[in-house]
Amino acid sequence: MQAKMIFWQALTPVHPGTGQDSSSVIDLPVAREAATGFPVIPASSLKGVLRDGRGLEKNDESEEAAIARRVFGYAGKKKKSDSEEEEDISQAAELTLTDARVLFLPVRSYAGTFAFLTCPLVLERLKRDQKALGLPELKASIPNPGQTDALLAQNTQIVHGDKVILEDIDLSAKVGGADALAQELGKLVFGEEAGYFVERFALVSNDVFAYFCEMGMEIIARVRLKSDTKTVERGGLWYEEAIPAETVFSSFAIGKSGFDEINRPYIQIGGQASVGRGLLRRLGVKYES
Amino acid sequence: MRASRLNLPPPPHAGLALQRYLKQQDDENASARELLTHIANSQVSTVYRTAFERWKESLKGAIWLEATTRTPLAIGLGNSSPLENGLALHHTYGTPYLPGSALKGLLRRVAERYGLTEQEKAVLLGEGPDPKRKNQGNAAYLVYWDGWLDPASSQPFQSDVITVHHREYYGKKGAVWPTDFDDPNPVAFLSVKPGVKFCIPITSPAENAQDWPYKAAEMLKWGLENLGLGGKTNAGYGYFTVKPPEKPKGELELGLELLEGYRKRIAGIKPANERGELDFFLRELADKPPALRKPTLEALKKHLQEWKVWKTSNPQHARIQELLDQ
Repeated sequence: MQAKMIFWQALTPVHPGTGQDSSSVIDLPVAREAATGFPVIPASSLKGVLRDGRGLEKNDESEEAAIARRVFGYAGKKKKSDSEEEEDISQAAELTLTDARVLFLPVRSYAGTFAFLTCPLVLERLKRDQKALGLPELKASIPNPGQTDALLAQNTQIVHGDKVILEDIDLSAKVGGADALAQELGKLVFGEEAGYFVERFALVSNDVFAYFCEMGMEIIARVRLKSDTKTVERGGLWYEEAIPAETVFSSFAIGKSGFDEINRPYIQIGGQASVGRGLLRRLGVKYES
Repeated sequence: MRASRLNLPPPPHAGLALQRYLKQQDDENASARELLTHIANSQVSTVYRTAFERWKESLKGAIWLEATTRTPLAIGLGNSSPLENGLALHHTYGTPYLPGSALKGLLRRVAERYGLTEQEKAVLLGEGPDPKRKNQGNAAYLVYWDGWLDPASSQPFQSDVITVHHREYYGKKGAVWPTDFDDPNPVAFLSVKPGVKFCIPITSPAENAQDWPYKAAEMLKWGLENLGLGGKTNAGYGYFTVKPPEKPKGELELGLELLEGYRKRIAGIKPANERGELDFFLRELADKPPALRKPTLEALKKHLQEWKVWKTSNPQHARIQELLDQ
């Protein structure tokens, strides 16, 4: 059994939709974890995109189909070649993917354009999963920021005066308060590009992070126009939510084989694909065990 | 706006400034104008420049249109903002952009005028399910990505104004007469100034359908130049000049180019040099794909026919015919 940790970064807004929600002013919200309310890309979405429809055709006997069925699984029957009887060729997938969870959330900042937010809960969960899968754990300690604190790297760009001013929340800046952590995460996730991440890194309390997961998503107003008059059709205005560009997600792949399937520099995932949502780049497959 | 921020100048992030840093609503719109002037003077951030490069790198297989605003652009006026008039601004970077959905919507209008068949529309734009549920519909086969601001256009905004001259007349839907005594009400808003360049990628995930993005690009170019994008197109907003993508040349075009290079030489074939020249052409053309060499061979044949020496008993002439027939 092998496990790999994979990081994805959104280059365009991502809309892992849940369908219509009449209880909210947002008509098309994004998927969220039930317990935490953090946005999430469900593993089934990832798996579907990586599979790309291969090996689903019942009569497909090609090598490619056989590989896809082994890696991603298959449920179905096919006719035996020598008789009219059908045999069950279902099999479970050899590759397990986990939900892609938000690791760093970009939040608009007074200084530095935006900040990469994360919180102890997110990092502790990552650490717990790394341990369970036998992957090397985060080494730097995870400090616990106060409700109104933002712990930053030494070399930071998001401080104005002594504050980190995000959307409508002001936090007191603790420059260097999470320097080791920022450096380690930067190296692990961004490699050579770590610089622009470290400058924007902010460790905030779980509550502040949860607030921005709830309120800090991108809201996109959409309209449908009448073709002749160019005015909005009746009922043709709706609001969509999207996980903003720059967000970094972490996910795991576990299994015996099929890791080649993840070796793609870019994927497109989630809803509203034909208007350009959901372009992700892979930030490097890390640590085999 | 929070009281603690009243003494702060607005941030460089245009979207954040527009949504959170309006000091107060006053009758003269003074703070709105101040805010907009500030945004109009702000520069595109350096983090956007690297993000733009990353994004461009990720869409290598796309075909690209370069659209430069010829007139001001006011897109996303309905987006929420304390100024009543918003603008489509990238959430993370605060740069103006052309939403993929707006480009696709424009393409839909162009498609009406181009007289495309239902099938062509289904490929370009997708097709909703029909009410009787006989057909499930399909998504568009192309992806219309957001058009991103070229970072070279580093100051894309301008402070703009729209002046309502007859507030009462419009507000009461015509119940009050519009008169010359009405107070004009200038409303400040933000628009993109002319001469700002956007890069628009279009991709087709299907490998064997690479002609479609070019078709879409051609139509989109026409739409951006003639129909306009975004709001206030009847007041001259939203028109572009577009540099279309270069389409890789087909074999026919390449064949004609090849012929163009040889035309003089073919005309110069005379009894004295016929054998040597035909040898040269046969050698040059023998390995080229049939479609590519066809125009040149036809021109050779025509030259010889006009000159009345074309005979299939001549081995060189027979070879030309043979290559033409392949």
